[in-house]
Amino acid sequence: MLQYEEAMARALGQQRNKEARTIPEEMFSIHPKQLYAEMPELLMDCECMQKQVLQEILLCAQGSAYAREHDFRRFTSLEEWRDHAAVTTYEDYRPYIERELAGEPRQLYTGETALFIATTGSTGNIKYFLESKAGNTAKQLVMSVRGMYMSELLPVTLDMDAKNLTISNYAPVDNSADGKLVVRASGQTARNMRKKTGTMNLLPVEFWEAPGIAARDRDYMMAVYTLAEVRFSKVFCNNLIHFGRILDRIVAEGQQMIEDIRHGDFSVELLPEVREQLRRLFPANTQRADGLQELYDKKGCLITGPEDIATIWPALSMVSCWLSASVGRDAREVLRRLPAGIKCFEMGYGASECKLNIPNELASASGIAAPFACFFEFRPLDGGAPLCMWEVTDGVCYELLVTTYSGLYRYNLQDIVRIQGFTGNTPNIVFCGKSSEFVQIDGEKIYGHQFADLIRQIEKKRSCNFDLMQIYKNTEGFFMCWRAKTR
Amino acid sequence: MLESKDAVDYTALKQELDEQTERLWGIISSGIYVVKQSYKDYQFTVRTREDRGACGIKLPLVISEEPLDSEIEMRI
Repeated sequence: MLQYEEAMARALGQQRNKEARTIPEEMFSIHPKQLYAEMPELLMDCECMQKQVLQEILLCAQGSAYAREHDFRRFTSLEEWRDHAAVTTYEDYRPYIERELAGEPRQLYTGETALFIATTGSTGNIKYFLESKAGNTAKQLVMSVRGMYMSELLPVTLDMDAKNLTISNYAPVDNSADGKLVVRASGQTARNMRKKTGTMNLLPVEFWEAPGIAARDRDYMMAVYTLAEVRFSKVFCNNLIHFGRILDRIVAEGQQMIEDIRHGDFSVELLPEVREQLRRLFPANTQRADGLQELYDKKGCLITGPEDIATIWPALSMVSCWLSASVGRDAREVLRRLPAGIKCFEMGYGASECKLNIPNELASASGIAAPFACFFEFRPLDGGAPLCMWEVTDGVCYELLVTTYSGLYRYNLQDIVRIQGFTGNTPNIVFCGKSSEFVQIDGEKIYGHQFADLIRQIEKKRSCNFDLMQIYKNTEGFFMCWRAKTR
Repeated sequence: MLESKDAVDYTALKQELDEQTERLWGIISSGIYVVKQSYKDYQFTVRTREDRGACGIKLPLVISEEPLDSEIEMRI
């Protein structure tokens, strides 16, 4: 019996109580190398894993306020679930989440709540989600498996001397009534990653946690830290345009940054105690400053093209970021500014609610749907009943519904994903866009991602790149907002 | 023929777009706004300055507010 099968058997054989461990928690205790070695077997039978994950999530729900009020006892089989479970949205959970935030436990599941996730999503309106201990571990498990695939393709990720720049909104947002942290999903991912990467990071944790630094100053400081580190090798940044903006700051303010590196200080407004703390961790580096000054004096600017980036950071070899949908368009814009040999790896598709896929190829936006992360259902865009992971068709787009270990049940993420082949019998999925982003014209519903696909075809045919593509609709019709560049 | 500062033939691009949208969905765009680089820079800067996570700083594909005149380089 393989170790993941033993882990599943252990999880499902337990009496469901406070000490019981779920499938992701049992699997997380397997050594990552062993689990990676077993992945081909695991991915040959996503149906078995998915059915057991659903069964377990529903067991974890029993006894919660939500399960009682929605009569979860009737879901005794997958068929019952498929026939009767309602598709839900955030509003269905809001009162339960508010009660749990106020200190009333067991609202959405009976297990322990590890923390709360705050998200602004793409709308800018803040929402909170509960994160159960099992749900938090499921995310860490997906991260761990992603890390194994990435290190197999990019061994530099394991090189402790190759420094990382990880860009994320790291700081906790607040505390709940019972003292649990309220964090951002991307910040929590960065925090979990940091536990494994420790000294690889060129930005000290004290920088991320320092209070009172304005966003613009934070970008400036990230640029100074990065410029000061000759061993800078890897970028981890969901939306790579943010790294592009850091390069812009180096272009515009390179001379000032060289002076900061020379003196071990930052030319931004900082609280006195923060400045003192950060200065201790950022010693003056005359040698690096002299080297950069020489480059600056030659061209009057530190970065005029990819060759300057290769000179400043000779070890820079990989970028991990989102490559799909509109963010992928922005990422490609930044990648064109970097030296040609730099390898690119999809950061992985996920949301505040759960992490969903495992990228397994260089320069590809797709990844294997993680069958142990949550229960997946795929709703056809033209209507019809949701399909399970083992029933989907290659090349087809679906709206994704998830049932998670953190108490979301048949929850509509409002994400459109495309099936892009299979690994074993498990589908590879790529995020296309939000199902809430569409225009209705003459009764026809056209999604933003369909326009984006069309524009990509035009880009290829006409040898140009659009670095901005948006659709605006009013009573006169629809308008495209563009900005293009020839290749 | 209209050309932007980037020497892109937007008229030809619009024609291509219209042919494709008509073929696919039987519709034609009412116009194209060629927006200035500063439009994107501004949109992104606002998003990164607000306290947002990774998803929140991406720009939407479908917008509900028309770009301002000062943000538009050319209308086709």
